[in-house]
Amino acid sequence: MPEPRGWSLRTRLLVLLVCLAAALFGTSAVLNWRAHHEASDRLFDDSLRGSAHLLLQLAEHEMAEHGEVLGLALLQAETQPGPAGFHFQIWTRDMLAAAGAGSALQAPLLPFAAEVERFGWTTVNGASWRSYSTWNRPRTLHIQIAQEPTRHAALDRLALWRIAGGAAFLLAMAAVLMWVVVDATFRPLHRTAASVGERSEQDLREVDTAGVPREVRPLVDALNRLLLRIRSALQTERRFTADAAHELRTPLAAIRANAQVLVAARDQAEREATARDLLASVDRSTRLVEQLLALARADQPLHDDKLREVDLADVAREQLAVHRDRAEQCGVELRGTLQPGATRADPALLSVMVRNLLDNALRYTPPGGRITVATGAHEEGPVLTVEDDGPGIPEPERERVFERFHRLPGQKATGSGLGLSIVRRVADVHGARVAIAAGEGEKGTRVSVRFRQAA
Amino acid sequence: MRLLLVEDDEHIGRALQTGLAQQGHAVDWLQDGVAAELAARDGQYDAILLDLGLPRQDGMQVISHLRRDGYAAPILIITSRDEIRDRVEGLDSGADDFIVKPFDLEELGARLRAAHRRAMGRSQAAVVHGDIRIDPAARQVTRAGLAVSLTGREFMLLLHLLEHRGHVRTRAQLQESLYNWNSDIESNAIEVHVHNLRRKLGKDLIRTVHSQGYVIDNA
Repeated sequence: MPEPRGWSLRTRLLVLLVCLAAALFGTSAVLNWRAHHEASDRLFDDSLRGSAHLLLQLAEHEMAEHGEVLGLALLQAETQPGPAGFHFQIWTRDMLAAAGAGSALQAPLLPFAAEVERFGWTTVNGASWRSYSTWNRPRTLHIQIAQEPTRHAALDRLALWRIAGGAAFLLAMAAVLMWVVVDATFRPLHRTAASVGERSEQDLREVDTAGVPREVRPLVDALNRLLLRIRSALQTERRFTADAAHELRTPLAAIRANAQVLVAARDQAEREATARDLLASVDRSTRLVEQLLALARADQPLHDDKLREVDLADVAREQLAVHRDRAEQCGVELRGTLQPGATRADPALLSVMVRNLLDNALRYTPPGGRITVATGAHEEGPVLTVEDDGPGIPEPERERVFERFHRLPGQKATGSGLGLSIVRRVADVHGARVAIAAGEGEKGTRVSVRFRQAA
Repeated sequence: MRLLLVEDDEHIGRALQTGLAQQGHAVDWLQDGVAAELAARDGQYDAILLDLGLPRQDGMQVISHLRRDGYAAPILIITSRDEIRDRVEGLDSGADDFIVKPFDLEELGARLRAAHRRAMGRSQAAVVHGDIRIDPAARQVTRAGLAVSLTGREFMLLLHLLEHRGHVRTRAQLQESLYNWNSDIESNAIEVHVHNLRRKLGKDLIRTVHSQGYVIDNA
């Protein structure tokens, strides 16, 4: 499977964890090293102090036994050289007093300090040495001692490497373990992704939520809701296509049969009658295709740039004029009660809607009947109603008539069965509501479309 | 053939009625399921052409009611429902054929003849009686190999009598098999047709059964 593009939650988590671990291990190593360093310093200092006190005791002892002069010679002796060696000077109180006057005495290793003991640093042969000075208890003798810290630094470096190496090793181990753990944690996510990714475009079943972690559940749920919507939309689409094909067969069959009959016509009257029927069948197919196209157009989402300020009365007036002739032919009275009712709508779609409402009313109103189109502004918003005094639609059918290709039972299939579907669709995209009720005096049909208030 | 056409669509119904009449059939056309069932029980149709989506009673119901009561004539479904399920259901409920719109009129005629032939227990398309041979598809009659020219009604009468060979057919029965409801029938129409057939095919072919009707005896 190819790696998904974009940033990876897993990689990011892994990198963050490794960085965090590195920081922690690094800090720990530094602290460790520092503790080690302090401990080793203290050890070194202790040994320096020990040496100093030992020498001091020796010097005291010498002084008590041999007197000051002899002791002086000893005390002023050159210190031992060597890798483990140290310099030291032991001063009597008298010598200390003399030293200040620039006598022949050696220069003191360190500045004289009044404290009982003092650690510090001094420069010997150009290198920095650790120094220590202290007094004997009666404060008659003062010792100054310095030792080169070279060996001690080497030891430190060894310890540093050990600490750093350990930390690096542990970090590597931790990184591997983290990778394993993170990978295992993300496996259910991969499984879900793979199960969705490997589907065909036909497979719109819900994604299995079993074994999906709680954090991912909302995503899967949202996906499933989307799948459900797509499924139902697709189903509607498929049913519509099948229905459309089915509906087109009837006029096509009529065209074909009429054409064949025309070819074999036995006399002029038959020829003429068949030709008329043939034309009527062609007209019916044309109308069905037009209605299908109107529905397809109304099915598209409405764009803002198509919206205009429209007065329902204008649209109704226009359509009343268009249908006047046909109403006369049908012997139906066509009336308009038009009050201004402004809304924001697609004027073309509104015309289609009113045309279909009028067409339906004319189709089902018997001669001598009356159709009234009314528009006006109500409190809740502008309303358009088309009312006829035809046979009416029985209560249980009033919702079903909006379904595509649905015709009232027992009705001859003269219409396309799409008119009210188109009306409903146009209303829907405008956020308007269509309702069917009985007309005045519980007779006929009243279709009312309630629009939203023009903002 | 005398046919009952049940089709609620005006355009298709009228075209079919005319088209089948052009093929020499007498066609009664009805537009709803209830009337169709009544007419089928009442009349003597050689076959029924039945749409499925009908007002008042669905075509499938018409078939199952008729077949339940032992109705024997062929029933051909003509419909725009074309799913396998519909075909299977239609044929299983007792229809003899299932024809999907749009269809060819010639083919419809052929299917009608085939269904009728099967109903008559024939396997051959041609009907042969002695030296007379009838080809229902071409609507041609030959006698001893020579073509005989018959009118549409004469042809239908001959075929009807041959298909009921050995059985006396009354004048009323013959009239019904030849004419649909809308026809104006002369009172002596059958006699005239029989006379013409005897003239063209020999006077011994059709025997008059006194005060009953006519019969073609088994050869």
